[in-house]
Amino acid sequence: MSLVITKLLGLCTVQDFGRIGRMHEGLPRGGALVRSLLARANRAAHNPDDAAAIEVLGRLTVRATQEVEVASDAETRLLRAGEELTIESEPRRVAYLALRGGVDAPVILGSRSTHASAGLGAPLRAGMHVAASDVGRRDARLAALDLDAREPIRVIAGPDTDAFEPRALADLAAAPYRVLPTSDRVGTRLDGPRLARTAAPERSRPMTRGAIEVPRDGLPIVLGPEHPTTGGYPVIAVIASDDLDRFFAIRLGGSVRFVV
Amino acid sequence: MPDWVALGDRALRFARPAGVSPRAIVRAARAWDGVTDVVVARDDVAVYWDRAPQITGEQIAALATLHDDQEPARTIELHAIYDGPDLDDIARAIGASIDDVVRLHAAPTYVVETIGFAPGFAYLTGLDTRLAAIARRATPRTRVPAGSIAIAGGYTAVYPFDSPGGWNLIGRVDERMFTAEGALLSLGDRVRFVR
Repeated sequence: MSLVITKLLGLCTVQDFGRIGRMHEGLPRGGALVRSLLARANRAAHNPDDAAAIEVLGRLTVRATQEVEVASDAETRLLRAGEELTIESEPRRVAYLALRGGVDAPVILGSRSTHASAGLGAPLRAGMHVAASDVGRRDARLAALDLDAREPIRVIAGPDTDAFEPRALADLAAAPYRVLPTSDRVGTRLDGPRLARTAAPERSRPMTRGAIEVPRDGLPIVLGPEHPTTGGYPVIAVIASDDLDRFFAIRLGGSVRFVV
Repeated sequence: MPDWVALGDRALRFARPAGVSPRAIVRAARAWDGVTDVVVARDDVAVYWDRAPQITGEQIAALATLHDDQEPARTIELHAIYDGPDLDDIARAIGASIDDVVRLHAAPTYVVETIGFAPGFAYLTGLDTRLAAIARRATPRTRVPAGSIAIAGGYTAVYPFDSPGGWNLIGRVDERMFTAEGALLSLGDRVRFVR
């Protein structure tokens, strides 16, 4: 064993890049909320980008039970036995703690990711031990990260344009939204301009990560890694894939602007 | 030429071709270059790429002519206990006895038309017309136990996990619908409820 969890606040899970190719069984990809941040921690720990690490939504304190090399963001540290380290997701929504060799967790359906809504894995708890695995050493340069850029998040309009009043798309981009603390890995709830829907009936349709779905109350929900693969709320727009990490890095309570 | 719409910049959505098995659609579309996933919903198909989608109208049109005779559909038996809390309401709604409701539900061989809502949640078609008329409950339950057999809106299904849900509960099955092996039911499977 390499680490023991001494304190935990919020949700901490093991995540890698998730499970591809099972959406037709109702299982979305899952995996890290912000992939580029996971990859960055892994590179700092000399791991392949997709190695499993601990995703911290909140605050996590670990103590080394033996010497172990860990990394968070771009910072690498050698923890000696008995040394403690605290990782905090603030000022972002999420942080990753990578271990040299990757976090050891059972590979289920091709991934070590915890996917709570599918009963795969379980959130970490205080007192649990986390061991390092032995994925091969890989040395790669740390890329520059633009997660904290202030530019609006780009979205692609539609596909359910006919389920909204004509002004709704402009309203989505008109003013900032606040990221609500009730957000989770399934959906990110936003508070801001309400988006007016037409009377078009709801139909259960295929969904995707980054889809901005709008319930009757008009307040958008952005689907996250553990989203349902089908859903009945119409989708006004989908976040551009290049901007997903930047969106999911915005801390709870923070604000976001969209541009179409 | 069939139309499609963008579902973001890594997926496309188009109308589900009529009369084609969903299994054949998944198999064919997953063979397209760069495709990672396919979702077949009631009226639509979405195809997901690991890059910007590249597609021709001919490819989508070809899905409508698929056959999948070489691999006959599986028949899966689910072991059912009909003791759900909504049996009474349903019996009253269709003017029948609880025994009739159970008989009507256990008689058909159902088909997995689509999977969604939750991992392994299979929408089964083939419901007796009287049961098919039952709508969702006015107020959804905050917790439906895993394994619950439910009906609503013309479908029957088994909840794979404890979750909120608005369908009418008529019983439960022994089987686990989603495990570390994946979903128990696949698109196109035939399903029987055995007492």
